[in-house]
Amino acid sequence: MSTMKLKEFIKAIRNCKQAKDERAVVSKESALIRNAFKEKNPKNRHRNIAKLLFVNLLGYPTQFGQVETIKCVASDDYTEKRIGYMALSQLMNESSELLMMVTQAIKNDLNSSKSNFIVALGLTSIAEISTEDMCRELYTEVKKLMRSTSSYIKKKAILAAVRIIKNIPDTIDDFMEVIDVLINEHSHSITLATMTLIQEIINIEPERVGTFRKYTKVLIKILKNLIHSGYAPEYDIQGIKDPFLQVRIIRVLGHLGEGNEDASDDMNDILTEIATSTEGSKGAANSILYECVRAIMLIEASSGLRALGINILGRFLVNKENNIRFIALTNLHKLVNIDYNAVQRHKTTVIGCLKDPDLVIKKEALDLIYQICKNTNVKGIVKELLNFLLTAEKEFKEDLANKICMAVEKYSPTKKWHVDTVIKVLTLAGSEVMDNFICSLITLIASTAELQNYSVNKTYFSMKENLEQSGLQQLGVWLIGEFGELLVSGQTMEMDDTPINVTEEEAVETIEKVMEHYKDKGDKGDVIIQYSLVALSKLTIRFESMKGKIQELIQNQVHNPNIEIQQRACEFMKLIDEDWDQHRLAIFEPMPFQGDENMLVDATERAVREEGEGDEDDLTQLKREAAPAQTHVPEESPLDDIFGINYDQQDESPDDNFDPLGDIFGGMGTDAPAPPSDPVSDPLGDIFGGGSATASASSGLGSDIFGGSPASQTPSDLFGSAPSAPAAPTYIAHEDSNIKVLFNFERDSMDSSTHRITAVYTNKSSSVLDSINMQISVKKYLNLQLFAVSSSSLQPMPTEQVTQEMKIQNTHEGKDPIVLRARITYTHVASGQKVVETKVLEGLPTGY
Amino acid sequence: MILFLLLISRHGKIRLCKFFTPFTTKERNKIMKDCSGLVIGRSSRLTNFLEYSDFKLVFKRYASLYFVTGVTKDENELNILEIMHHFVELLDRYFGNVCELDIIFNFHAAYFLLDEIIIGGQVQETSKKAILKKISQQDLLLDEQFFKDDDKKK
Repeated sequence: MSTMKLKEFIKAIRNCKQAKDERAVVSKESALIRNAFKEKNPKNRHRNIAKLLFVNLLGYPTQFGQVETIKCVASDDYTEKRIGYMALSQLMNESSELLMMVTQAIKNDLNSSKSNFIVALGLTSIAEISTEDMCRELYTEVKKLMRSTSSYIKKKAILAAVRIIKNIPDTIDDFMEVIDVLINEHSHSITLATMTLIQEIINIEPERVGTFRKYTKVLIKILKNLIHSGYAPEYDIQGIKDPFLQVRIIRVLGHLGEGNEDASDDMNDILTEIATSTEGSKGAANSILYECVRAIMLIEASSGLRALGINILGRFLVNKENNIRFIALTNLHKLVNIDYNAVQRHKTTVIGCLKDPDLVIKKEALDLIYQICKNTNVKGIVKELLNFLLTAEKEFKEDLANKICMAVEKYSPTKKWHVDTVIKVLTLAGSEVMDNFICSLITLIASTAELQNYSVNKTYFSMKENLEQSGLQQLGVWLIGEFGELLVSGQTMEMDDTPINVTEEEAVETIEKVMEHYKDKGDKGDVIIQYSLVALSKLTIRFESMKGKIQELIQNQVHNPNIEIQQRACEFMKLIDEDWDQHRLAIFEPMPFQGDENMLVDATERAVREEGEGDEDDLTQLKREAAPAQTHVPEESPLDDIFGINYDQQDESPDDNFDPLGDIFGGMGTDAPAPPSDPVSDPLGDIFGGGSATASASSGLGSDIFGGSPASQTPSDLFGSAPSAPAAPTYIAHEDSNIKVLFNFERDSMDSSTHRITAVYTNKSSSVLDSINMQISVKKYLNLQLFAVSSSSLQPMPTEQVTQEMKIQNTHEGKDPIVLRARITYTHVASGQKVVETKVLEGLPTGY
Repeated sequence: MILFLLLISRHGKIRLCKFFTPFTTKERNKIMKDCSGLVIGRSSRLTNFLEYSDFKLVFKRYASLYFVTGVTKDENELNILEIMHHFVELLDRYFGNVCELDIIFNFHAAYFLLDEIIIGGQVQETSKKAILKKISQQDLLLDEQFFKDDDKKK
């Protein structure tokens, strides 16, 4: 039996010079302790458990002590019990089945008349490790203890109840009557615990907030008394009276005032007082001011109070402490939808935060700047962001580059600026830009005849000098493939009116260089090689003279280790074969483009350039400005002639099992040999088959097969992404692993400011979803009529839907957007999990 | 609420860990490892908050120890920093000028103290006086053999 004392044991471990010595000491001592447990020798049991706790802290296994821990808890000796309870929360957690064994011991302790400290031990363990079964077994005791005469016991019982209602929400009703009594207690710790309990009930069952609203006045009074009370050293922190309690009460008040004008009016004065008179620059004061701001943003605050809150954030934003500035940024972020102008005023300071050495601050600032972006200011903001992009460190570059692209896609005033800016981003940080932005740009260029010549030339020269920027190469290669004939037309002029001459050979060589550079460069490189293969194949009809060279380049890839590339190369080799001569032209022709459903907003509908906008704008900053001074619109858009041929087929939506090749060629009225329908064994069938899943989900793959902008980097998608005709706008209000809530929008035929929204719920899980509900709150300028859900439960079948209608009248139609705050609740029946999701829905579709 | 509290030494050793809500052993180990990596060596001039998994980390270095808490997203970070400071001050008063060694050798006392400040991730008592009084009353009840003997040699 080990006789080593705890302190000696710790010393022995600290004396170990090497990890292996430590392991030896630990395993020796563990073995001794294990033996002691086996011999059922109660002597020094608590000391052994304490040693095990230390061993546990060091990260060694200690499961063998669990049974002994339970014995300690049940012991009559106070020391053993206290150590036992400590070990209970350290060595076990809710998943330990052994916990059932300890329930009776805890019950005895809760009823102990020996000492309050024994009762307290039991309550603490309920608050920290109790399971659902334990809670059922013990909650009547806890409820009784919430009325204990000792405030020491009472506060612990209330906090144990917090855990109980989380585990078994149906007990909430039982606790409500106790709260009525507790709310009137004049004790810091009891009020604090009661606030915590109320807060937790609101978190679990938000609809209960109405019941608590009757406490508004009482809470205001408690808070007022606290602030005006005399100096009490034990509750004073940096000259502030019990900041922990103040924060808690303010938080509950915020919930009570949310969406309720009367309660909000009631708390106006006290919040104003706290916002103006809380003094001190230290943490305690700021934590209260911060909580106060949060409450102000939640409630129906008067304009004066709101201004106060915004001022606090303004002060926070220029605070020298990073923590405080961070808080300011995150909260301004939340404020954007409530008071855009107030936030917008801080634009310059926020942009300044991008200089901060702290990445956390920078990212938060960037998010906020993106939120501030609008059609009217996007140019100025993006110009500043581009400056930062030049100097940004690696970790930040990706965020920054993508945020710029996102802002451009969403708010760009003109298509030309969109093209210029994204190309600039690609030149500076091409490898960081996400594929979807490149794809959107491709869609934009492809659907705008006036910009094609300009874009292909500009990108061609940029890509040659920035071989490292993979995103730029991706764009460039695609553009050469699609618009190669514009590049070599010789009609494009330099700034000084000298024509730019690119030969077909040079263009193909450029692609060759790209393929050479991205050989064996991992996934990203392989995607570029695949783009290159597609581009080369398309060039077989554009640059007839280069066919031999192209064939050679594609042939090189036939043995590429990447199976996708290999397959693609084989397929294209086949297409170059003269058997396909008569079809090739139709296959590789430029494709008609419509808006891209994957875009944040449809950027293809915008004006090409602003009125009076010259072509020689800030583009000259690019390393080599080879872009043409004038963009020549091709006399006949290359798109025009194919619309007639292929376009009609778009509506032929193929069914799931359609044979894509047969379908395309059949549709063209050719008598191409129908390929074998097994898409796996036949490489050609597979090219098209690969895209069929995407295609059948949207509409008509037929005419789209080669033209579609690759929507993602999965190779099978290369051909997918069929643009679909604009339909009634939809919006995904919420989606998680269980449920999807989709909004369908429709304008009221009588009143254009009234929007009819149908929320469609679909079950994604394999369990029944029950108690489905959505509550919505809106700003004052919106009138909301929300109807009940068609059914509150949803079977686990994708075909089943529950719908919920609502009507929203926007009295500021055209001025302010519709912003909703939604609370979606449902119960996942299989796991019993109750989900509450609260979110702000913004960016809802408007112009339909 | 506070989901967990860790005390980590400069060398990444866990000196105290308390999980206020169930995590599996695997999750606990991952959290402890990740927190050490994220927090140690981070300049004190930077923010004391980081996003981590579904929650936020709020942390602060006191002498050779990093105090790290994981809190739910709705928490007031500044308030959490104050709660940690509250704990530090109490450790200081209880041990009298506390240092890392005090916590290593008397980790159980640190846990006892913590149990009087925070229960189930919620602050239960804001008066330091009340906490210290209750702690000393409980210490009196402890087996002298175990507690005093081990301690007095200090």
